[in-house]
Amino acid sequence: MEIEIISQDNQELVFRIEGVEVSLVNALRRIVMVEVPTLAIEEVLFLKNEARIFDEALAHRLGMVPLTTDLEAITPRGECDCGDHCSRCSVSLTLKGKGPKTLYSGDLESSDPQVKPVLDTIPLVKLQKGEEVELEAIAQLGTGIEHAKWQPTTTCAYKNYPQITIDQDKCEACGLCAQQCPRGVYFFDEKENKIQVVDLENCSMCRTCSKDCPNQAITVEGLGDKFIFRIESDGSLPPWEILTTACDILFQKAEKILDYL
Amino acid sequence: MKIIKDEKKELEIEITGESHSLCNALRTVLMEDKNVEAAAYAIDHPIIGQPRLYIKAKNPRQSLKKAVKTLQKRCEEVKELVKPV
Repeated sequence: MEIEIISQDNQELVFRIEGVEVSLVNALRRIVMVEVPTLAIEEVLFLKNEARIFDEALAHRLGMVPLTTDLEAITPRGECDCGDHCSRCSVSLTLKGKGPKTLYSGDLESSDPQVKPVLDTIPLVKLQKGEEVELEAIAQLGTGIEHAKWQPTTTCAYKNYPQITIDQDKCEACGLCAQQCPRGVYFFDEKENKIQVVDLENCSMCRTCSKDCPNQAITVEGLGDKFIFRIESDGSLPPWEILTTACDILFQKAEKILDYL
Repeated sequence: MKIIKDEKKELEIEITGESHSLCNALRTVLMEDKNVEAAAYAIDHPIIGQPRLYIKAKNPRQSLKKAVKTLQKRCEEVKELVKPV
C-alpha cells in the first residue's frame, strides 16, 4: 500500500492511495462521514429569550455550529455513567446579549478553552432594541448516524485514478478533445501539433473526449486499485485526525469479531 | 453477534449492529484467501436489517480470523501513512 499526500491543511486533505481494495477505501469513507464523533450542542437551557426567534429554532441553529473537538478529553455520551450530562461528557457554553445587536457564534463563551466555535462569524440571532437573550448550551459528543450536526466532514469522497491513453497512430491532432473537455485535462500544442494531457487528476472520467474524438483515438479508464481521496473537515477536527480515528474505529469493529470467535 | 450456522466447512454469523462498512471490507479480504471457496454477506432490510456473513472454506473460523487480522493490519497501515510526521 502506498499513500502520497497531494495537499494538506487544517481544512482539507487530499491524497493518492495505491494498492488497496475499493472496499477498504469505501469503508473508511463511510466511517469518516458518520461514525467519527465530534462535539455539537445537544441541549439548550433558555433563561431568557425575548428575541423574535422561537426557542427550538434558535436551539437548532446553535446545534449546527461546528465546535473544535478534543476527542481524548471528553467521554462519549453513552459511555459516561452520569446518566444525563456532567463535566466529563459535556462542555457548557453560554450566550448572553441585549439588543440592538446581532449575536454571532463568537459570542458563545465556553467553559473549556479547548472547545470553541470553529468560526466566530456565524450569525445566531438578531436582537431588536431592548430584546435580551440568555442561555446555556450543552455540547456533547455524538456521531453523524444520529444527526448531521455531528458529522466531522463537509465532503469526503474518492475516485478511481484516471488513466488516459491516446493512440498516436489514430490521432490527427484536431484539438477537439481539448476544446470539449469540461475540466481542462488536455492542451493542444499548436507548435508541436500534438495533444498533451496536462491535468490528469482533474479528469472526472466523463468520457466526452473519447466520444467526441472522430478517430476513436482516446480511451479513458479508471484504475481499479488506485484512488484519489479527499476529506474536507468542518474544522472540528483536523482531517488527518478524522481519518486516523476512522482507522481505529474499523480496527475496533474487526476486533469485536475476533473476541466473539 | 450470533452464530446461525456452524459446520465443518460452512460458517454463517450475524454481525449485530454492523453495516456495509465492515462486512464488505471483510468479504473482499476473505475472498483473497485461497482456502475460501465462497464469502458473501447480506443485509435483509436497509434500515432494520442485521448483516449476515457467510463463509464456505476448508476451515471457515480460521479463515475469518486471518481475514480480520489482515484487515486490522491494513487499517494500521493507512493510519501510519496518513499521520503527519
